[in-house]
Amino acid sequence: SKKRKDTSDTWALSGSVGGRLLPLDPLFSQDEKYILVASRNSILVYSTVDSLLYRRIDPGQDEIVSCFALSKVDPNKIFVGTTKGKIIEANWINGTTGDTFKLGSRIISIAVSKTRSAKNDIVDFVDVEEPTETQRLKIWKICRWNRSAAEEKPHVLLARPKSLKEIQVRDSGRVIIAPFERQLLCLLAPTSNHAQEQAKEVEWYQVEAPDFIVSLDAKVPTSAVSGPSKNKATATSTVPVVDVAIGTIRGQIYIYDDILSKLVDMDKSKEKKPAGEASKLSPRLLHWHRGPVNTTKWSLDGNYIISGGNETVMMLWQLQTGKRQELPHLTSAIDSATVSPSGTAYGIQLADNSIIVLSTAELQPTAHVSGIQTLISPQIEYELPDLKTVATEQSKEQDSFDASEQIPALLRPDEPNLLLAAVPASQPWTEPSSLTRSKPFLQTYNMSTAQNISRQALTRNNATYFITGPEGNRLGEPDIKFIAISANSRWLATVEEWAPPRLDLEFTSIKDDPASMLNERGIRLESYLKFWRWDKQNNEWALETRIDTPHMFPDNTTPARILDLVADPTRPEFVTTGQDGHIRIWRARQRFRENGVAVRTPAGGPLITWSAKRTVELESPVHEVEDGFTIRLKPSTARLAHSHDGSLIASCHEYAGHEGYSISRFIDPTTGEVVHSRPDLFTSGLAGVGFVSKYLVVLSDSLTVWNLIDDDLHYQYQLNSHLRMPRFLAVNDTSDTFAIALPYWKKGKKYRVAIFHTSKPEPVFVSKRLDTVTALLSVPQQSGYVFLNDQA
Amino acid sequence: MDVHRSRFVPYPPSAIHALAFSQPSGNSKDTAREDTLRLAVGRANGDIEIWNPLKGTWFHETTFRGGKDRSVEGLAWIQEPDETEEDGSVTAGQLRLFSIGYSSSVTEWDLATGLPLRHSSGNASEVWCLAAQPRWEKKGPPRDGEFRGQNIIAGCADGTLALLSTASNDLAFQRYLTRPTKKQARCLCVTFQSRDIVVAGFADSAIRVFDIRNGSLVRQVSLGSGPTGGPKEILVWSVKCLPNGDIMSGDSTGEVRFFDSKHYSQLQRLSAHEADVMAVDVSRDGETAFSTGTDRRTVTYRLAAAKGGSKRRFWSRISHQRHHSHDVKALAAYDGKNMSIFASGGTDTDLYIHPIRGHGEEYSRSISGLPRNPPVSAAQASRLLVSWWDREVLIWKIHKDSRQLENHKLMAKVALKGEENIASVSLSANGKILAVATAAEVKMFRLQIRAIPPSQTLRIRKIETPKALQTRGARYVELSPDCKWLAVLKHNNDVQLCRLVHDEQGAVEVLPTVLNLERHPAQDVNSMFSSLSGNYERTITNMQFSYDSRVFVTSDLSGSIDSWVLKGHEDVTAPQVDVDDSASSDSDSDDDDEQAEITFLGQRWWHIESLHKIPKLESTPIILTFRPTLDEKKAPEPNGNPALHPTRHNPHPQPHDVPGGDYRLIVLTARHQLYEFDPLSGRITDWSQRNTTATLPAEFKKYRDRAMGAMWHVTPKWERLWLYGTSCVYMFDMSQDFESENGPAQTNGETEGDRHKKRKRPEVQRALQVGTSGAGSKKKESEVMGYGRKMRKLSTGADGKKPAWVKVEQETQSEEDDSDAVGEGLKPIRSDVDDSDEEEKVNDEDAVKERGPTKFWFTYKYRPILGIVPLSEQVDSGERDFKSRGQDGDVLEVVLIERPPWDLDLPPPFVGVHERD
Repeated sequence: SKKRKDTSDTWALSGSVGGRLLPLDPLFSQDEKYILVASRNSILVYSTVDSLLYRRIDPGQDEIVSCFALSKVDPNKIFVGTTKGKIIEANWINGTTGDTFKLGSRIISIAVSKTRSAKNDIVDFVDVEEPTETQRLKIWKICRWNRSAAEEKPHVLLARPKSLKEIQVRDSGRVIIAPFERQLLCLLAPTSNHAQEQAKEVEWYQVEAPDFIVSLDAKVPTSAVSGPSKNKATATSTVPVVDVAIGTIRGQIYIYDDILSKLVDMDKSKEKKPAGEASKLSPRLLHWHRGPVNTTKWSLDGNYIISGGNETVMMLWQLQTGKRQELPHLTSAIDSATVSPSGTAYGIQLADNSIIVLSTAELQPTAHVSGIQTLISPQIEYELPDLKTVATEQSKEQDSFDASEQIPALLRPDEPNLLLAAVPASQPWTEPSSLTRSKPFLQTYNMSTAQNISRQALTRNNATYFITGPEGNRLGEPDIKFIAISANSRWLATVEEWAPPRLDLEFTSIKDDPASMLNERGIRLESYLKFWRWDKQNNEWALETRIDTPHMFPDNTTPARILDLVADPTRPEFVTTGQDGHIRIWRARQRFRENGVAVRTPAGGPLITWSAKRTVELESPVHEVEDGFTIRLKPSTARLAHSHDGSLIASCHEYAGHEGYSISRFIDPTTGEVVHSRPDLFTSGLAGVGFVSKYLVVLSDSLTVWNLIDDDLHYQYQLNSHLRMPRFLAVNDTSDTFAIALPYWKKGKKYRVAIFHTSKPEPVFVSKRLDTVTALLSVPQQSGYVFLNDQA
Repeated sequence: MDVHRSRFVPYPPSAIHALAFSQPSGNSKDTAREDTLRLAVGRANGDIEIWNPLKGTWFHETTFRGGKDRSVEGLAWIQEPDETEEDGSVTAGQLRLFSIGYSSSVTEWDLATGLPLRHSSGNASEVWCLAAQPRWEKKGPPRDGEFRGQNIIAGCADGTLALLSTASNDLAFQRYLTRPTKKQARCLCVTFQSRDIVVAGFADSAIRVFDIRNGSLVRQVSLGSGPTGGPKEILVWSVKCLPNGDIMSGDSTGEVRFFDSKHYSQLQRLSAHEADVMAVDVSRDGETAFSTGTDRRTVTYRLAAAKGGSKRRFWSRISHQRHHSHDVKALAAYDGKNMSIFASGGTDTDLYIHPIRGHGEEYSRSISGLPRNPPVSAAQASRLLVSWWDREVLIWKIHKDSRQLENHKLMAKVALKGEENIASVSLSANGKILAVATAAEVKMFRLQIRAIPPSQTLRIRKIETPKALQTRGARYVELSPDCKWLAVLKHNNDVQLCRLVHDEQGAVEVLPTVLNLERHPAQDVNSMFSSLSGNYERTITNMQFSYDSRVFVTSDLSGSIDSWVLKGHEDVTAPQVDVDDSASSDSDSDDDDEQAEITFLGQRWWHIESLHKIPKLESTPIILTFRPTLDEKKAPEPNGNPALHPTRHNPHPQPHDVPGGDYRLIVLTARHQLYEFDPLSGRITDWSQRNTTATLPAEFKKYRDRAMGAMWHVTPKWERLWLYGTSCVYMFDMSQDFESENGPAQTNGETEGDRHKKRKRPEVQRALQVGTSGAGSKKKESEVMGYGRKMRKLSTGADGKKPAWVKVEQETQSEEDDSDAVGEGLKPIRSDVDDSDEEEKVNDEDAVKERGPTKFWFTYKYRPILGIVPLSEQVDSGERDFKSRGQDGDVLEVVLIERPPWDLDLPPPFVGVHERD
């Protein structure tokens, strides 16, 4: 989510915008004009006609949504479950919230059915009890709560220490199907009337599943649901026909026809044990997916199954002919899918935090909704087993080499509502989340209207391609490390990096020597600096110039990593610094022929190329190892800042392991001369540097505010946090303030944002406990700040 | 044991092109026919193998040899109508086997001789498919003159369908159902829907239905045009009919279709395969169907329950598996009471047996395509190794030093003239005589190693054989250890013995007179009337000489063992051949006259009388081997003139000296029962009484593949019997008793016959059989596809009783069977402890001293095994240096020949190898 602070004298935290959608099935309204989705903070109702946000239902202060379901009695009503154990009734048409019931400790899934009289809703939900002193295990409970008897406590149907993702309730609450990791539990509730149900003991059928279940759909064939019309006695005494399709973590889909009656038969005949009875339970197997089947759904008529996984392909299985139809190249992995009530549309939630509505006939998208797609680290309640899958291999790949501290993001100076952020292709819920996923795309998001504007690939990427190497490893994509935008918003500079995966380099490096691996990967680093021009006609960034390996070590063969990129606030110029210790100032130059006529592009515009106007060679410190042997140190971290008037560049270089050499320099961008340097502005843990009026703010293990005019320390804080998590600094010249985001530990990683005014050493605002911050931005020409957290 | 693990023998197993069960899937009442259930496997080299399922044991009975450029492309069994005797007893009809190859003829095989019986070439065009009419069933009052046999229908390349009559035990062209069409669309497959209606699939995307009574075309069903981008015509590769008459077809688009039985309208089509569907079949109840094809998949379908009020039931594709490593061409199903299986085979030469009823709960079983009669032999003394296939014999020399890179050398290659494949080869123990048998003749060669430094060469010279051997072929030849006798098994199962005479120069002469051995008549009268003809049951599968060549035994499929003893002493002064034709009127008769008593050099073979005969065994003996004795007590050679010379009163004196040696014959049957007999007395030995089959080690009992061969390694410390199958090597120390698990064997005064009856269905069979349908053993709980077969009820009630698991399966297997599913080709067979360690232990002297000699040992390390042959422990003077380990004779040296599947020279599969499983 994204929050901002207001400008007035009193600072305050605004509401969040554009959070991550929960991995729940989106729900269609009965008339299919609206689709309901859930984010952590609210239930969002989007129109399927124009993809605009129609309504937003907030469950209340400090409540975090975990699940929701439509009422079966009143289609305008929804039930929202929260992580604080509350179930909230709300009307999504008018946005009013109704009654709130405290029913459990943490509700993670909810399913609604109606009583046979169709007067009341039966709400079945999954409640998670955290371990206590007496109870060591987390307990998942399936509870039933009858809306009409609101005062009564919910009735616990089952409590188990195994994790559970969702429950499915069918046939007026008579059937509950619940996947407990490797087990499938089916409840056939006694055929009593609703009032007496709670007192009765209920029996569950438990069968071992062939594999870990990640998705499940139970279907009661339409013809079988003829309950009220028939004689009630016979309708309730027979076992309902329930077809179950489950998707497993290894990609198989198993279909069990009429599972419930078989289980009942087996139970009844357990003394007799007729031969061949067991094979009746044998399923049908559909196997196309390689990875987990994130979602499996029956079509309305029961002739098809639709499934989706991390392959970005939606599969339609025609069961009678064995044919399958594929809808490939969705932009991202599929997290969940639903079929609309009339069967004319599929609502598909993609793992890039977006939802598309497809018409079933043409498979064409009719609506598209997207939130902010930046990296997230959500807490998934349903614990997946540690499989040797592509994804886990991928996570082993990660190392400090790529650990980016800040998500590359910025706000457009001409339209401060537009957030530009580097985003990954997809983050499916079945893959371990990681904040080090590579981010090859640029998303533009309007924060005021909570709308996705565009998504553009900045590097080569393989979002929808065959993404597995021969050893089963994921093929890596280049990662956008830095983005910067010129003051007139016409130019965008991006820095991307790519290095071969570790597996491919194992043979070159010394075994078990991370340094050698690092070295080998460094040699093969691909580093690009790209300059993009804003193309107004097509509303996209057009690549103007690509600089290969903008920084190179003095040997002229080894590429150097770029450590920071900033834009000049006055001119279309960008400044980079790299591990080679140099600073380069890049400038656009219009090409002219010898006769002075401007060279034009085929489109008619002036041909502009970017090149390094000036290279400032900073002297690298020389460190004496013993015996007079010396090495030239490489900076491990560097931060640049441009003064507001563009007259001065501040550069801070840190040499990891050699704190004494840390140095801050001030450079005149016109001449490229180092006008001043100071060794004492910071020591280690450099995180950010910025100019605020006459002060230079340096955030490292300490917070230093330096008076440039007097060349004197204004004030300094020693920060005692030793958490190895990134800190963030953003400066706002409009309000003479700067903001820092600092991590601290309190039952997990937490962040706190503090805003300082240059005039006084005390913060003017300190926020409450926040989730992990991934970027902190200052709003241009305004006095606010925006930060992104790991819930997007 | 010193093992030369060799892969140099380039034995090419042959692809499976056709499969046929001798019985149609019977109803559950009819279990009798399972006794005569055989699987005929037709291979690309023209061989037809007959396998006996034997309730899941699957052992190879016999092979009908093919020849050059012959191939078996289709097989069909029929059974003559049962005959009801006047007293009401029913005699089952005879089984008859027909095959087609790449020719225009249909061949009938003589099951007893293994030779083609008759051909029918009614058409000039190649026959592509054949099918047998279903058996006649009594419906309503019998009509006079109604044909009750099963006719054969053959589909040809020019699109004709020819009906062949099998009446009066003949095979004759009867009529054409269709004439060649203009398009000449090949008829690719044919099957009977009922006794009168034939369904045939053609290469012009059509299935046509004919009435064989009048040859009219009942209906033509078009499958439409092929998929876009592919060929226009769909090839209908396979059609089969369900019990209700519905038609199932598999075609070149990878689709399986179902058609209505009455209107021939398409009911359903399922795209199941990624490439051509080559074969389809259905279960007896019509609820399960299978298909297989060039994408190597075996797909199972099941008829789903009717849903939602409609009565119509749809087929659904349950799952597919990929067992084969290459294109699959043939499929055959048998679904009876005790066995419910289907077999598949293809280019990868392996046969797979899949469960039908136990689908998903039992493993499929793989049966290696390597022959069960090891086509290798070795001469211990000269270190020669002989291998053969088709029409070629290769002779190798194995060097002692395994440290050399190249420790084997191809010495000679003998290519036989003629078309017939080699049936059997025997190499004498001294490596000097080679006997080769084909269906046409028996040839003998003399081998001489000549050392021409730096290498040795082998000189091969033909030995003149008697006329009787030249003109008629043989199934099996065996040279006696002393190289004086050649036993020849004729195709009609007559056993002949030839006497070889050696002169000082080493030249060999075969005496022209050939002795016909007389066998005991079939003991079991019933077998004469079984549907597998009694002659077939009498097919001899094993012949064995004792170590001193004075006892000769044969065994046949029915389990009878015949034995002969050589009486008298050899005397070179005696007449070479002395024919006592006193009992016979025709003095000129030689080999045809069974009554003539022939004495060779004072010695005569004497058939052991019925009184002392080894009792008939319950199942076919697969291994006959004499237990060697280390310290052979040489009977004192009578000096002077030991042979009886003719006198006036006794012109044909008969020697009566019975050799005094201690003969113990070890017999291993197809059920892996182990017996030891004294062939002279016909009695079971004391050792065998103590060590019944039940006391065999459990690991051996669990082994599913049958043993193929045996070797002995006898030292003063142990008497080791090494047995091997296609994937396993076992060692038993026969000098010790197996530990009896059920207490000491009872030794009261039962007769042997009683005892045999008591031992029926020993444990080993039960462990393998119970609860399975004839394919592999039960899967482990965790490997069963789909939900586990266990279910339990959980209740939230307060009674606190623990919910019990309800296992929805018959409690059929003990726990240990669950955990050990050895013998499966599909899953890694449980890795035995460390092989090398184990092997050391076997030979480690200290360990032997501590624990006593190892009683039992086995390994699954080597596979698939083509054969193991022992090499001599005799050490030539020049090679003594390598004799490092232990005392002389402590080390058994063998050549173990493996033919791993990746070593086979197979054409590229139809569907690319890059495809991931």
